[in-house]
Amino acid sequence: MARLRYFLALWASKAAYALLRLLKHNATMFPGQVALTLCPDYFAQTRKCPHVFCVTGTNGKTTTTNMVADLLTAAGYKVVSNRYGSNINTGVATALTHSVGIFGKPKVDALALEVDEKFSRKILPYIHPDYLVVTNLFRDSIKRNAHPEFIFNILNTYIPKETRLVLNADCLQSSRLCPGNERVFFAIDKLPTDVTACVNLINDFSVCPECDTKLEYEYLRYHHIGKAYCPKCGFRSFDGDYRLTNLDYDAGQITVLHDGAESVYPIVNRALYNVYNELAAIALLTDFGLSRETLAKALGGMGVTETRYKETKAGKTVLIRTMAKGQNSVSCSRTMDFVGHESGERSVFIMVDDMYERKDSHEFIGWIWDVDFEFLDQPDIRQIILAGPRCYDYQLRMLVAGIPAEKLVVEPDEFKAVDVMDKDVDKLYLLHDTSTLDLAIEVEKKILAVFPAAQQREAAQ
Amino acid sequence: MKIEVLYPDVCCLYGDKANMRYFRLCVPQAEVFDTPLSETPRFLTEDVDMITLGSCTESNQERILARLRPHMERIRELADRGTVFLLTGNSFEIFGRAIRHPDGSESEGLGLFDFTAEQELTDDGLLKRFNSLFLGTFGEMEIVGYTSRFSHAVGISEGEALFKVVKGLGSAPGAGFEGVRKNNVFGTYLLGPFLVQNPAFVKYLLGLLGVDEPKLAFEDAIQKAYEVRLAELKKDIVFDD
Repeated sequence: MARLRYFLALWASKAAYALLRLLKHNATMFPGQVALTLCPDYFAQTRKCPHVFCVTGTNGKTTTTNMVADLLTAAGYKVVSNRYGSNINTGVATALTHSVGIFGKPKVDALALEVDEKFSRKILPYIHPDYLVVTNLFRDSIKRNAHPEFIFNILNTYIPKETRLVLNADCLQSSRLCPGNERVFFAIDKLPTDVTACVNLINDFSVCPECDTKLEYEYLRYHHIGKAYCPKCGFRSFDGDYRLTNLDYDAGQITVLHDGAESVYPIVNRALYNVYNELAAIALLTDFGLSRETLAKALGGMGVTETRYKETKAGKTVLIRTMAKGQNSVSCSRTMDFVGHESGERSVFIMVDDMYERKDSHEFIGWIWDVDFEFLDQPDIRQIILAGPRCYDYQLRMLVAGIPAEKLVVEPDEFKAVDVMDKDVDKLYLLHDTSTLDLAIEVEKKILAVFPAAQQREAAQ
Repeated sequence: MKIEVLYPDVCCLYGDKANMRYFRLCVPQAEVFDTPLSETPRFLTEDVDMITLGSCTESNQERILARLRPHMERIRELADRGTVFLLTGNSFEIFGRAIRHPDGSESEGLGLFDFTAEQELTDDGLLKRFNSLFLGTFGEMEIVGYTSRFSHAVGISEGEALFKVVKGLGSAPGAGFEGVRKNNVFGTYLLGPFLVQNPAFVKYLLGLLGVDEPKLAFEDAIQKAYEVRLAELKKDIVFDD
């Protein structure tokens, strides 16, 4: 009976997908929703392909999953991923539908799945991944994720015991997950830019979990990411099995030490958080058995998806549209750090309000007080545009951050804000939330329209 | 003026740190002391004018309770004497009679108030989260804010409540009031930048602390943000989810 129900669900899910594609919809969630409605144990009933890789964590899930899927494909594996879909149970169910034929037989070699950390409880225990990468755990949306300890407890409870973990040794929050599981750690050695005391507004792991003493750091990268130790009881961060020992931006390459041997790989993206994502993918797939040559060759041709980062050249100006995830103060802080430390005369256009909440509710903006907007207080950042319904909250936040009032432009309407934007700069940053991507693309078009079309060309990245 | 910020290393979720960051700008002459979790509170050995505590995780609530329980009498003495306490988010639960967990067990609170904080579970066994915008009143003052929590405070009488609810979630579902007050002890489930969102309440606190004709930092900006928020909360929008 259970199998019959499964096949009905599978066929209905495949039919729903075909129909939606015919109607030119993305069909990333609904087919999975159909499957789970008709067969609540769809995950358990689906025959898995030989290799199942999952990626979860607060930040970097999408980028890491995409890299893993691309690297596996480059290595000759046939892969299904939820790359264009949702990372909750319905999106994963849709991916499972794609991974099998109409008689339920696996038709691919591997699944590479991004899994929402809160929804992991509805997914991981049923699909039993061979590998799970946990990129990191930070505070995220208050409404959805409450706090990192809440998410840690979910993962710690629901990760299957037989799943091999790939963990970030520099993240004390996530590296302590499921100590009974087999695991490998990745880490980045001390960098010239590291510090020993936190310069960020928030550090979600500043106190020793054993004795409450304030943790100290051999090096601290950002927030709680670094190598910590307790001066009182000896508690300390794990060591990396895959250690990034050299980050050479000039040569565009990283060196990874594993089992006493160093391997060199090209850097996919310069932002440090993306270097972590790349390192996670290298650790996972090296542990899985792919060769350095295969990985290095494939990484050489990779970029970060345009929905996350896109550069367009317009005359002497480079317009950079990049994501600064709203309601995720750490992700947003990473972007502010990146923008703040870039070179050249810059304008920054911030439109990170939540698109859904602005429609029929009112976004709680407590999170912006956890974001390091202080990084934007730079002499060569000439102007900061604060656009969207919460712009007056941002204005106060920027003033408290020490940013001079004369640099701020406050405008609830994003399109009107373009008119007063200082475009005579080297770099123009358009920072948007995941939910405002479509709006940001329209704003980007309006910004680009003021530059002569002949001068516009998209940069390679 | 001496202000003690208790345990900012763990009581710092959701932008709660913004309150004291902004408050300091309004009273640059104040001495502000941050007391980390591993240290003995300053209020035990000297008088302070104001003590603040912000939102924390549920496990840190327990750690804080373990540290403060031995000092219940001193806390009661300070409260009776009129020391200002600002307790935001779930930190105010620490000052109630108890925190009741979903399995029925209780953690003994400091007992400054008689309410019990009660947690519940969702159908699939997670702590149940309650999120709501808030619009209320404090005397003539209109208060705006937000709550997001795993528990409700049950057993608060209207007489000891802090705010009247106009819209949104009060101390418990259906309650027409929110938070607690005793003398100058102010406890509210409203969290994050509560002071930053309520400039009139900042002035009120400054007045309690003896500041004549209080001036707010970036007064035009904080007032504008407040007025825009107040107007939006008065519209027919979704408050709870």
